[in-house]
Amino acid sequence: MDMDFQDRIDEYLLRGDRMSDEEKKKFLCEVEQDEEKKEQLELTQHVKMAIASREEKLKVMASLQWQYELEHEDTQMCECAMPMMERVTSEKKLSSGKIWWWISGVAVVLIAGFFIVRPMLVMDYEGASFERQPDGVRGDDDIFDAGTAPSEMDSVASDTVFTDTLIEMNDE
Amino acid sequence: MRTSMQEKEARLVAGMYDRHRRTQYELYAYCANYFWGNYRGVFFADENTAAEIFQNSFVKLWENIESRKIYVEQGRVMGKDRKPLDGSIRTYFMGIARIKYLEWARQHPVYSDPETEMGKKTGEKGFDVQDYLDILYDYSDNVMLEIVADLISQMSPRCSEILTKFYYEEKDLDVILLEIPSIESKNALKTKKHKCLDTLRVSAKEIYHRYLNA
Repeated sequence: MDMDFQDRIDEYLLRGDRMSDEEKKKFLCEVEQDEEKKEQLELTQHVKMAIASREEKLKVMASLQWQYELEHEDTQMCECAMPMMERVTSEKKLSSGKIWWWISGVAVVLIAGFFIVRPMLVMDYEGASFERQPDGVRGDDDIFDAGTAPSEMDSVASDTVFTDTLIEMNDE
Repeated sequence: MRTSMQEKEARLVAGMYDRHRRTQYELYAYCANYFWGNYRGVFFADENTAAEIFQNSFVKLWENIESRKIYVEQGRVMGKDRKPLDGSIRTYFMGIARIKYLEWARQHPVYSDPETEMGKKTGEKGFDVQDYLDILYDYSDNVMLEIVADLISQMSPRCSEILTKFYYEEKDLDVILLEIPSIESKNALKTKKHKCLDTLRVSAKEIYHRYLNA
């Protein structure tokens, strides 16, 4: 089989629109006069037609197979034997196995997130930790910082802050 | 008088020829149910191989319907020589599957070596050349196209990949080279493509001369 002539056949079959009518006519004339070249052209044409026919059918069969497996979950065929079909079905099909993987993954992320965030909610107060009460108070804990002497605070003596239970405890 | 099964099969074949989507699925499921329920009694293969054989067999059945090798006339499925098909479509389909299995077995030594138990069992199943011709090839017209189509279903995965990308997807060799990184150079890709085509040509000629002129 002539490899150089194969290039010309491929040019004719795949990029024939770029050839002029004159070039095409010359090519076909050359083929007609040589039995081997004629055979080579016919074979390539058959290969092109056969592959196209097969690929079109395999595409349809991929969706038929997907539908079949949905309806017959207990008789699922092995995907690995159908590389062509697998390419097409992989975009459409999410097998039950993969769904469980996704659910497990999301659950792991949520659980891990909970354990990471949880310590941030715990307040340390002189070695003892307690959970923040949902009292809606904003700002940082310095408001309840017992180390701050009342005289340092910018407030009036009669301000209830001085009579706050927590500060009294700290003074003791 | 037609049985209900004959009427059903005639409807499926006609619908398949007309590319009726619902009927395509119905025929697919009809063949799949029968295949998976009976393949172990017909040939010896693991599930992966059986799935591949089923795929190739259904493609062939579809091609035979498209080329009118089997067709519907007056509510009956007709086959060779314009006579009603012997047996059911399911039997016809399993006949294709059996031949596809034998083709596969010849490429896998343990299944074709008569000295092995597998080989003996495969040999016992026999290989009827006439069945092969009747089911696979219509030697009245365009026989080489059918032979090439059959050979393409048996090609190595690498040859199948290269020829599909080049002739069906119409990609340039440079693009194909990027998509198949295990091939080192454009020249190597070109040589490989050429070898695949040459192997096809030699095999097609051999089949043509050995079986059709026998």
